[in-house]
Amino acid sequence: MMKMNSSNGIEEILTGLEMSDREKQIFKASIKEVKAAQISDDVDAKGSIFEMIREEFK
Amino acid sequence: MRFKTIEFENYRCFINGRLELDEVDGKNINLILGPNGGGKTEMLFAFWWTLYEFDFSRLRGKENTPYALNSDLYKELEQGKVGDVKSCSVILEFEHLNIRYRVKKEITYRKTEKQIRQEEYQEFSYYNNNGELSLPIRDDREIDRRINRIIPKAILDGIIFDGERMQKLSSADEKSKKAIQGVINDITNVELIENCITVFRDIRRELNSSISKLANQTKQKNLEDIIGQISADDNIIENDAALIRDKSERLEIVNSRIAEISEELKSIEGARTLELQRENEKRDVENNNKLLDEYYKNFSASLKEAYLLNTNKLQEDVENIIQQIDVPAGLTVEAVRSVLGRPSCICGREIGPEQVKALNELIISLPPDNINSTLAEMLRQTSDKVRDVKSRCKENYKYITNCETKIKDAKDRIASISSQILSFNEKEAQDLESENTSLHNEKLQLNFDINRLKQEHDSTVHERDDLIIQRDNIGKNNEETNRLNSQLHYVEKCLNAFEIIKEQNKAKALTVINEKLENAYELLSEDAELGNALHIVQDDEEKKYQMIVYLKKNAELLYDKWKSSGVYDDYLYDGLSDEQVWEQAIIECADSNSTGQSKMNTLAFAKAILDYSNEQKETEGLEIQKEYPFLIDAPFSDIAGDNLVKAATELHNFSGQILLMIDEDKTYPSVKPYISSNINKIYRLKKQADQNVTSIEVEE
Repeated sequence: MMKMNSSNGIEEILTGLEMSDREKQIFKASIKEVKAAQISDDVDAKGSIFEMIREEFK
Repeated sequence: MRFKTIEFENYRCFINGRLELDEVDGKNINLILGPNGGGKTEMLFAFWWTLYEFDFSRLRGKENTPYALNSDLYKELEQGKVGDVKSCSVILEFEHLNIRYRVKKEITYRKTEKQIRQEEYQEFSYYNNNGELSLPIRDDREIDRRINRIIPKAILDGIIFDGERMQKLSSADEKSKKAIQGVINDITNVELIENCITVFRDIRRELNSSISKLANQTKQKNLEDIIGQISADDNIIENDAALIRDKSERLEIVNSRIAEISEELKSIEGARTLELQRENEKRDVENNNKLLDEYYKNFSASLKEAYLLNTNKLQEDVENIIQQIDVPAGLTVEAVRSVLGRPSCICGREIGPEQVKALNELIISLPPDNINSTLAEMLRQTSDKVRDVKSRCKENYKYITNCETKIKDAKDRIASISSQILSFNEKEAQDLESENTSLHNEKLQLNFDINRLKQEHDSTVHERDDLIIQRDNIGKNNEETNRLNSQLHYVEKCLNAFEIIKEQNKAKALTVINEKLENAYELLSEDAELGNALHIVQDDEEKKYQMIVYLKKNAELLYDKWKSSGVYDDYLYDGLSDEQVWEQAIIECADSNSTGQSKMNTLAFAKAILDYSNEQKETEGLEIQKEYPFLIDAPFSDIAGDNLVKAATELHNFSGQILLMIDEDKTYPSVKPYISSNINKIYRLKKQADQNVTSIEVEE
């Protein structure tokens, strides 16, 4: 009887926000960077993400 | 994450002692055995205290002291001289992702002229690959941040349970709902999304700053002003959002405390009313006792004449005698004497010596004049008196019986009221009322502040959006600005995405946790076999995060009834989804819990969230697999039959590391067959007589 909520996945949300495939990739890679920083002090998530964005929109 | 060791010094009832919490050959239960009041709960919450703050008043009914230092030592300090110092500490070591961490918390108590001052100190360090300890971090915020990464504060509500918390978690109060909400938020790793948002906001700030500098370089004063204003607006928006969040969190705490106080005040008000009733009843008893004394006196006076009640036979005899010696009305001594004085009788016959003798004998034998009527009168009066005495005795007896019944009834009522009156301290009640007033004032102020901040936030967002349009227009011809604007535009899209994902993720996770909760309940509770199920409310605003037990069949019948009667369509028309209507049916069919059932619900909840945290998620990298230990005190008391067997048998499957605390004499024998194959080490807590000291002994 219990039914799952039909919420959108990340892919659909990003599509809804009119992101290109490349932008979606950067978004997902950013999450991985933040997650790595959360586990280790040696990871500079902000620097890496900024670099990816600069590279994409140069 | 696994706890490795915990070491005590002068902490609560543990003057010293150390526990090694390893697992060997898959045996994941470390067992702590101890008597009631032996320090099991104290030890359980030592983990909590060392990692975060802990309110010792939660240990109500245990050693009720508000400080971490052993209470005997604290008393010594109180009686000692100014300048005396005592301290207590706990060192906790744990392992996470192959790194071993060490947290030490210490409090020093120093006696001054006026009071005992306490200084808290916490340090966080970790072992490097060579097994050397790093330099300790002593900054409180940094320590909190680091510990929170490994074991978030709110998750403790889902993995550390004593009997009282087990029983309460499935109740409908705000505190329990908040605890469940906290656990779910942390277990769904909202922190990762929050961290993403923080990083992207930092990037946005830097981009705005670069655009501003660029505008300055190109002397586009107008553009520079606009960008500067956008940046300032961004700061205001962020600050306002943070303030709104802080104040809303505080408001939640205030509301929760107000709800708690309201319940306590209701109990106190009830107790006061009952106290008043009891006083009235006592006054009634007093008055009735006085009346009873009066009635007893009257009864006693009546009893003095009660001998008359035994004179019936005598009266009958007298009456008979009166009838036997019935003398004609005119035959009196005087009349006989007048006959003696005459020479002859009225019939003409001479009165001779024989007649004289007979007449003289008659005079002697005649009763006194009017004896009949006198005796009859006396008899009548006596009879009246008997009736009167009898009636008075009866009446007084009736009064006495009534009065005694009234007194007994009143005393019964007093006893009944007394059993209902909860003991309360008038001073504490007044403090509570005063806290209630100040919380209500704070609530008003917070609501006012939040509304003001929301207005400011919204209007600043509006202003910033206008400025962005202006900036974009101005910067169109500037290539570099365009490039930065594109980056900024992308960053803003990302921030927007994170906000949407955060909300969706929480809702999705709750659905999954609910499925796991239903499975865990089926596995653990015998009530599941009777058709009961367990659910955490997801959508209903008022009851959100409340744990509800319900009879599935009833909920399904109600749901079907709503579908056939049009109620279902009304709900849909009101904007509810099918899932939300089903949840409404569950809420309507919610059942109450016994203590044992509540504990089973909490065990099911703990298993569900531990299963959830230990599972690989399909959330595209947004959630991290986390495995937490499970610390539990007295989970089996109030549980019996199949529930006990199921809970004990399944316990080792809850988590990779379980710290179980139970009573050695009452509980251990009944669960030993089901847990013994998974026990790694057994520690025994032994309380020393006449001292608040417990020693820890390990069974080799």
